[in-house]
Amino acid sequence: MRLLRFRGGGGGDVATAPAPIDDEPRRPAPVQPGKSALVKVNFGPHHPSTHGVLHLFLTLDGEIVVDCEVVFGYLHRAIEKLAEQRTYVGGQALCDRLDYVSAMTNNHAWMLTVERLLDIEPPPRVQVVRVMMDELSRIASHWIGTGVYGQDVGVLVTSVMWAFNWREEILDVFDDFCGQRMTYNYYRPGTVYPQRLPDDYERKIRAICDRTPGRVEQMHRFLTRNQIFRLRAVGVGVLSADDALSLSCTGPTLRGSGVAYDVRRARPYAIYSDLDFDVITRDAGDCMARYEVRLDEILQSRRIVLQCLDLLKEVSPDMGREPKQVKPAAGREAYVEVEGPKGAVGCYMKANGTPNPERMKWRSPSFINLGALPLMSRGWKIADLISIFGSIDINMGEVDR
Amino acid sequence: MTPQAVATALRRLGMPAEVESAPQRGRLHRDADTDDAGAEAPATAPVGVRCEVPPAQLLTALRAARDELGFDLLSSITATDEGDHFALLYHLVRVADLEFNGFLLLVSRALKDKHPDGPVVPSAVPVYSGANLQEREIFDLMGVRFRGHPKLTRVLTWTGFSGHPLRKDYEPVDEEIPWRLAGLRGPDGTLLSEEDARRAEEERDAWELVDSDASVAAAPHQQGGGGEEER
Repeated sequence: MRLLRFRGGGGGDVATAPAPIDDEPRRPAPVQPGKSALVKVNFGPHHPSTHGVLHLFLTLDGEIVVDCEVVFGYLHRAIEKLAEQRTYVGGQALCDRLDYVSAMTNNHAWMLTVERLLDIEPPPRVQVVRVMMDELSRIASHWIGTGVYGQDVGVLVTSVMWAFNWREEILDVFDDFCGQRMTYNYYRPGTVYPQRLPDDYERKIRAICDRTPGRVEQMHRFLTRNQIFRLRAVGVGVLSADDALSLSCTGPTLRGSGVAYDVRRARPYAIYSDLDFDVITRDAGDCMARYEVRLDEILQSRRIVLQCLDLLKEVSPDMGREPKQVKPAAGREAYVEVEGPKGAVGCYMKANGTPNPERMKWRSPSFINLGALPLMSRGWKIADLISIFGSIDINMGEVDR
Repeated sequence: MTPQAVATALRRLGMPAEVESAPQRGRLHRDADTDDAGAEAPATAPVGVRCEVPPAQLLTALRAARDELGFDLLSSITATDEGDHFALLYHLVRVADLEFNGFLLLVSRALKDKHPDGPVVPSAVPVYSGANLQEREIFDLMGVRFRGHPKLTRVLTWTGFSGHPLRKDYEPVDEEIPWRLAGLRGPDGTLLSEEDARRAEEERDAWELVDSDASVAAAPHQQGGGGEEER
């Protein structure tokens, strides 16, 4: 029986130093149209790697992607039309269903817009609670984004199982706060509901924060320093800063290309101007950069959550009051963006004097970031296309709305 | 760059820009006398610049905003149905500028016309390529055509869908949505509209009915019974 042995440095001994990190970036193949017969292939909508029902219409030269057309709409639920028939408060339940991995930030965008229409501002304690929920939500979403990206590039299930387990603890906290695990419907104009915070929330959230740095390190050990993972991510799908800006990308997709644009810093909402955190960027613009931005943002979000826990002891106990009637004056309009885990989540609303909005428009970052996929994937193989697609971290509920 | 400076620069370019103000918000009142701070009327602060441009000048305005004023990110395009016209709202951002903490909002109004797919406005894709998907979405749901767009097709509804659902005069189909008609092609290979596809299907069904009746009449009794069971 022959055994395959790893012939690394040091005379073939497996248990020597960790594998050297080979950072010579891979390059896309030159695309030469007209040289050979091109094949058109439907990728999805029912493909396990498309995170739902995304349909890619690929033009292939052998295994090389020459052109990639993104086809949407299989999950279109006409949320913007439905919102015109719902009240300002009741319609919030719709936006939970958009990016269902991080519904708290969606709630925040919706309620900030309603509050801007009504010209009210929640008391500090409510804002601290909202920011804390947003950041926990961001941690949960980034766990999914990085863990599932590991699966996209070939890790069997390990990183996914970790990610879902770690997210589960955060969902338990959300369950304590609002009684829901995924679709929260937690915010109200000027307050949150229920207003009473759970009894031992601080212990639970601090426990999560204590374990988070170790988990990030665990992810780094398992994925970031893994030779195979690096081959699939370093240098793959490079998006330059100019292209990313021109394509209106936001979130980790833009920050991975070296542009320090974060809505929390550029247009601070809630209490973000009083909080201490860094905007994470990477200059490489490849899949690895986008992945690393997410892991680093988890640590920044943890910092913010800890600050919020301290602030909750300082601020006045006033939890605000929901207005009896939510009926903004006719003709008022507001557009508010918040920083979601996938990018800038924007909500536009126009009032017409009735309890329902005249028009609601959702700026979904996944939808717009996907516009960069054809450019990024040109010249790469199909397997790399999956890696590039996974590194954008999209959510089909938000893409198709 | 302060909002006032942006508005002045836009006015110098011949565009009627005005600074928008909103109550100062987003500050955490950590003082003990929070009630007093809350009782004061909140001070207003400039939050952005709003500028109305006619569709003919839209491309010029977008170019000026990007090249001369440095608005490098077209964050969002929104279309609203205002009765007699559509309003297109372009929210622009200066990415590296923390002083200008708002949006430059360009509003362009296009009068409705008789064409079922709506009026024509210039596409922003030559300036901001990220406008591609957003303009397709607006064409699909609101019915505004963009001149110069590389591929103006439906994006969220299916090919062959008729109407533009976000318009105020759109009447939702109050029946089972005929998914089987999506993408049906006529004899010459072109995509059929929903009405034509439905008519074609009805005609085909009518022919099949006549055929099966004739076969029932001509065939022996057992075969006819079998056919009915199948149906």
